[in-house]
Amino acid sequence: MAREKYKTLTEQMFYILMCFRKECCGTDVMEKVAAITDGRVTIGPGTLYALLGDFVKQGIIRETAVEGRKRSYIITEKGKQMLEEEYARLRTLVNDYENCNL
Amino acid sequence: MKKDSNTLVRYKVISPESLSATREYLEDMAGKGWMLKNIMGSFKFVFEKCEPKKVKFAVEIIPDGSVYDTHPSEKNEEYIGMCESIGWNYICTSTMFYVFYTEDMQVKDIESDEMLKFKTVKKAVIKSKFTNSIVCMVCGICMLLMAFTMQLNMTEASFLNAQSVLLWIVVLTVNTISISSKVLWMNRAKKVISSGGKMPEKKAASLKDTVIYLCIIALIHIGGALWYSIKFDDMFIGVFIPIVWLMIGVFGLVNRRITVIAEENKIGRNNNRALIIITSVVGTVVMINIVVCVMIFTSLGDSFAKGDKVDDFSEKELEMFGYSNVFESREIDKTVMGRFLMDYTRYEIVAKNKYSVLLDENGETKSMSEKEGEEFLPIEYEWSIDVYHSENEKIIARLIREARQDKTRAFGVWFDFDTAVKIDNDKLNVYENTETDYEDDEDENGDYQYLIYDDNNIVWMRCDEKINDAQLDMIQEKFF
Repeated sequence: MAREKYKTLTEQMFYILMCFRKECCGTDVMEKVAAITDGRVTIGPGTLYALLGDFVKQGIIRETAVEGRKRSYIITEKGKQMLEEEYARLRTLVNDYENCNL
Repeated sequence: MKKDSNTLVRYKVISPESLSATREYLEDMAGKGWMLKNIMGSFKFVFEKCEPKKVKFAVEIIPDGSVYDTHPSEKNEEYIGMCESIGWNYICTSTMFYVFYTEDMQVKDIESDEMLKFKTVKKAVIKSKFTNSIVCMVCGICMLLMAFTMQLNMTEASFLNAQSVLLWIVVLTVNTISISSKVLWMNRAKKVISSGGKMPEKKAASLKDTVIYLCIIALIHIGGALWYSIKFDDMFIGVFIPIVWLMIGVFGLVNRRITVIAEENKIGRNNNRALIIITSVVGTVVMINIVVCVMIFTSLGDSFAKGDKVDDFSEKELEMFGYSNVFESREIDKTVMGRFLMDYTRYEIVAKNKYSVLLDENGETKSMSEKEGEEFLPIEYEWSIDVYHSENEKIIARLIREARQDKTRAFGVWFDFDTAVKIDNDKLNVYENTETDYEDDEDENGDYQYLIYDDNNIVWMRCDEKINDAQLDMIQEKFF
């Protein structure tokens, strides 16, 4: 089900999963994404919270620690695979664009 | 409404599909010098006096929020922490709504994905609004089906049933409009977001509309009952319906108090012990309501129906047979009054031992003397008699048809047409039945039962002896 739902990741989902390759909390993710994209992509806390809940439910990330209000997560094998697949898809798009002579 | 010079209370509806309206309202109030302090039960807004200031508000719904939340759960604290990390200040949680403010106009929005936001809002709308509307609609449809099928005769005959039909039609109409408008809004919102736009929001629901809706429902109910009680001089219905509405109001207040206690003590969903206590209290209140209603229906209703002058409650002959008629008796041997609904008239007449009582069509009592009783039936006979009168021949025809099919609501089952013998009579249809269920009941009159009818009247008579021609003539004279 998760496969079907997240067959194509949105930009925000992609960056969130990318950040979770290293254990971190939601606040860190917001900061990291802003830094990686130089502010081009911003993730609101509401959006992030909703996605985190769904990702945990689908087994894409897992909770690793709770410290006060902060909860840390890390990507699972399933999440890594999804991220890799999305990366490959994006690479294909880029390659197709570059090699297109029509 | 001002609690004191520093606190202001306002009642507003906060809905998932019109969060912007609430946000704008809060910003407007802050501009006037009233800063939100708390929202209780999703409609009671408590403000605190402040310097008028330009403040940005965010009213949000979280995906795992519940209408039973009074404060953030441990998990939801993560959400608040993330919002605060980007510059929002948390104010309060009310059910599934979270309210934040900031004086920095440059702070990023809490939601950055419109489709995800729409899905959360849609889920909240379905959870909070659809469930109620669908429960109301299912109840309404069941009540209407019941009114038009199981108790069709009551629908035609009973003012109260007609009132109930009107009531549920109003409820069904309002809820159908409510659901339809939300479904249309969802479709529109999905299209707009898919084409890159922002989620359109509905106009703020007005608490006034909800109050008006409840008032209409209450007015139909209470007004109808009062009209009925005045017209038919029946205090029972006149008192009963307002009591039911009073109970609903009391239940609402009790519920409200429980919510306030829960909020004050920060009792939430994650607190299982508290949840058990709340559930138990609410459950007990509901049970008390049900028990009180049942008591009103039975004990109190019984005493209302029988009147307060009945000394001997062993006189059970006046028990109703489930029709909408309300009978009232005082001193059973002297006065029996019957009251009837619309064009559908039923008289219960009881004679026991040395007394006979007869009612006329207008429900006026004619006490028959012993002498008159002798003329009518020998006084030592125990007998009882029911008379139905209707100007509508179709109703009489249907009752007879149903009696022939053994349906309980007319004279069926009690009067067994299969074993009845038709007695020759020029003017009336007369059936005599000696093998009925009544024979097994020692308390009931009637080794002999008679069903006598014409186009507008049915007389059902139970007595210990066979009636003779003279008595039949008397029945014809009195009732037909």
